[in-house]
Amino acid sequence: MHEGSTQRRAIVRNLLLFLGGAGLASALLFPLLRRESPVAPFAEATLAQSKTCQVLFVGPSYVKSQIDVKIVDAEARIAGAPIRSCKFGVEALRAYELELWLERLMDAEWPVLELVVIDVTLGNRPAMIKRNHFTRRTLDWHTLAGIPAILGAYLGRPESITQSLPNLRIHLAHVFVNRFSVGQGAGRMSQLKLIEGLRPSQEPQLAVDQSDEKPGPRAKPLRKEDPPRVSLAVQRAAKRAAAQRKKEVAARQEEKLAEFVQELNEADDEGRRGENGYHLRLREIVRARGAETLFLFAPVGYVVDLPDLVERVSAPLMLMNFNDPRKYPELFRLEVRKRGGPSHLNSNGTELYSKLIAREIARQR
Amino acid sequence: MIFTQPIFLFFFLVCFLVHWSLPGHRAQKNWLLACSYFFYGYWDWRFLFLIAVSTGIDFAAGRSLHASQDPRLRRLIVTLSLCSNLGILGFSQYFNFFVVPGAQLASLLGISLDPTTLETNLPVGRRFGTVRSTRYTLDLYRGQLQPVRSLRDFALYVSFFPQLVAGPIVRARGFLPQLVQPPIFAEVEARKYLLLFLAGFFKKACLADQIAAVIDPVFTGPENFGSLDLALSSLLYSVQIYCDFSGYSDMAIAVAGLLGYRLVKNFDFPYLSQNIQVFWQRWHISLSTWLRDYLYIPLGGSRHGESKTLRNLMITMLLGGLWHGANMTFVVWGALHGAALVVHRYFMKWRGSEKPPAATEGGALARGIALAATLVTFIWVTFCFTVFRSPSIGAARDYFANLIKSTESSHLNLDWWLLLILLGGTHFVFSRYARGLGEWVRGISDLRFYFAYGAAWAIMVAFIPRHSAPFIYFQF
Repeated sequence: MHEGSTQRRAIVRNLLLFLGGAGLASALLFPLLRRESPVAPFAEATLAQSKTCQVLFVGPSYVKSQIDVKIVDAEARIAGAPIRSCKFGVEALRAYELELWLERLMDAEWPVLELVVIDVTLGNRPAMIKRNHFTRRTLDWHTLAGIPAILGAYLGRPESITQSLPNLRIHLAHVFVNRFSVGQGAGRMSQLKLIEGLRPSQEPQLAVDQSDEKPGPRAKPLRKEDPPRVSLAVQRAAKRAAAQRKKEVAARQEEKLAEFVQELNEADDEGRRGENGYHLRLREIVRARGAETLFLFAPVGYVVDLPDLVERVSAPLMLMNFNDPRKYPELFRLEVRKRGGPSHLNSNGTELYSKLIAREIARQR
Repeated sequence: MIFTQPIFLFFFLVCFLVHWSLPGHRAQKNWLLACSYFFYGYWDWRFLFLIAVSTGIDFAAGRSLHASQDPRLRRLIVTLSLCSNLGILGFSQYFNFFVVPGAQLASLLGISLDPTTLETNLPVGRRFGTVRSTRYTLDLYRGQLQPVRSLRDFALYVSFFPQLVAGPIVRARGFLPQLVQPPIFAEVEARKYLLLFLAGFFKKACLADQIAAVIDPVFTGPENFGSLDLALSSLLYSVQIYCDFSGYSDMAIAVAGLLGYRLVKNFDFPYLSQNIQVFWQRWHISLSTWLRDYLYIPLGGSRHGESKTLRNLMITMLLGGLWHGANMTFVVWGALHGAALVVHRYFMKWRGSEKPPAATEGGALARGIALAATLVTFIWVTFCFTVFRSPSIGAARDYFANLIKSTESSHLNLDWWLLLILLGGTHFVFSRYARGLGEWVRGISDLRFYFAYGAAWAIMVAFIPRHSAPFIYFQF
């Protein structure tokens, strides 16, 4: 059908023109309407130390709250290998988001950087819980360049493609929303307040952007003149109940750790290993800056996928695995674990963990 | 699936490409019917049974009406068809509306009744479907239409997805003949419909949804806002409902047009009307035409003297209000418009002229009067819409009480006043220059048009909220 083919050609040509126009306009708008990630201030704080930093720690909360760089530096000095370290730790930093921020950090000048210690405990699988959908932070790492890495994380998973499809769809929607600055203009417009000078304006406003980390309601400080709220007997009973709860939590944690050791042994038997590709990409980013990479596994108390120790083409991956109660039993004692958050360490644990890391780095240097 | 969701754009792209690739007219109609059922079933697949049953009954009624010459039998058939359509609608939507007040009245008379209320969900757009189906049966009964022979064609008329859930309410005699001749791609005014879709999308997503986010809290708790806020919210609601509904209509007309089918115009710059009668000739045209043709005229229209004309006007507008749902606010809204039409009729009679002066004609005084008339009409329509938007009559009363004597300070961003003035100006300018703009667009090259069209979309999506609200008229 001749008419049909002309018709099809016209539709395809017009569609391409449409996409060209949309693509060009969105590319021009993107820098104008760019949304800043709430992670950016953390990166700025790290970059402020880039001129002097020799060892950089990058990773999630296991870096942010469990590695004290002052203790690391002091312990390394004692071990005979003095270093100046700094860190970039952000809650739940993992997968492509970690890769992207590592790239952004490495774009800066790091004149004395020798080693980048990357905590990859959380693996290369993006966590897309519904609460975080379309937040500034989640949108930020959904870049066009990141599509292969994001989609690649789903390949080789035990789940079928039909199970992964909803996630893939939501990732692509994030890339679209980010790249086409959806809603960004409306957000900016609401901040304009052209005739605001006449009278102060309050909420509600056009609210398009959502902050990732909203502060919770503050507790009112108790004033002197406030009457006592509970009797002494009630307070004692509450203390007893709290002590009992602590005991119960400790017992549960102990059980959990025992389960972990058993699970870890079984995992070793089965040779549970993760993919290397993600780790190699991270190492390449660091190598381009002339530094070496050391992968870190925090003592989380559940089985994580470790990358293969030997790379097929060149040197072996350098790896520090503290998630091993047989080698580091002191990190799995109840006194150093956080109550209620068993995968994290408390302040005692932080001190111990930082010292162990410093000694290990000193040994590997 | 609503027109502003990405899933609809993807659905329509597939529908459009396959539709124009199919070799025959029959295949195209089968495809559109399948798409329409998919579109409706996307809300809830159980709705499909309802629409299929309703289609079957009306098709059979149409064939029987055509075959029968006996007036009594014809009356019986049309009654059965109307009962089946109105029965579903009435039972599921108006049962509680009549039963609860009935029980309250009985208790006043000393009779104790324990009314059973129903928890029912009306399928989306069912009121529009009812109006569409009854229109077909009544036209056949009046002999103004030949029955359609193909069940597939009739099913497509009932379920054609662009107009399925919120109109425009197409006339059977306007749409069914379009199913006889195959649509021709070369005759489709693609640019006109693409621009119409863009305009509709802009009105719905960039204006109506943004305004909804600002005024919803005001209507929920008017006591927390100042007089100025309440006045602004009322005005903004008029803008919201217009942008929401006319935006949907624009998109529906555009989607149908791109598939080669014409739907009727539903809005014609109604807020520029200088009186309430003209307003009703320009607002929701397809429904007001239906009310005129199937309620006002059968009731006698203006043929039986002044008092009966006024009575017919009031009945038509009250039923028009009740059509929107089982809430007294809708009834009062209809009554207010009916009263305004009555007052307008008396005024015109007293003035001795049927036509209002045009805003662009005559001297400065005539223009001033025309502008004042337009403003008065808009303010009255806004007042009525405030009642329409309120959850109950009590809430509407509180809203107006706060509007008059609120001591709260103003909370809303003052820029909304600026936006209101800008929109009013744009609306006026566009009403005068829309045709010229259309002609200019027709004259530019494909390369420029489609490239600029893509860029316009990219700019527009930057100004939409990420979560769109459902269309107001979907509930009807």
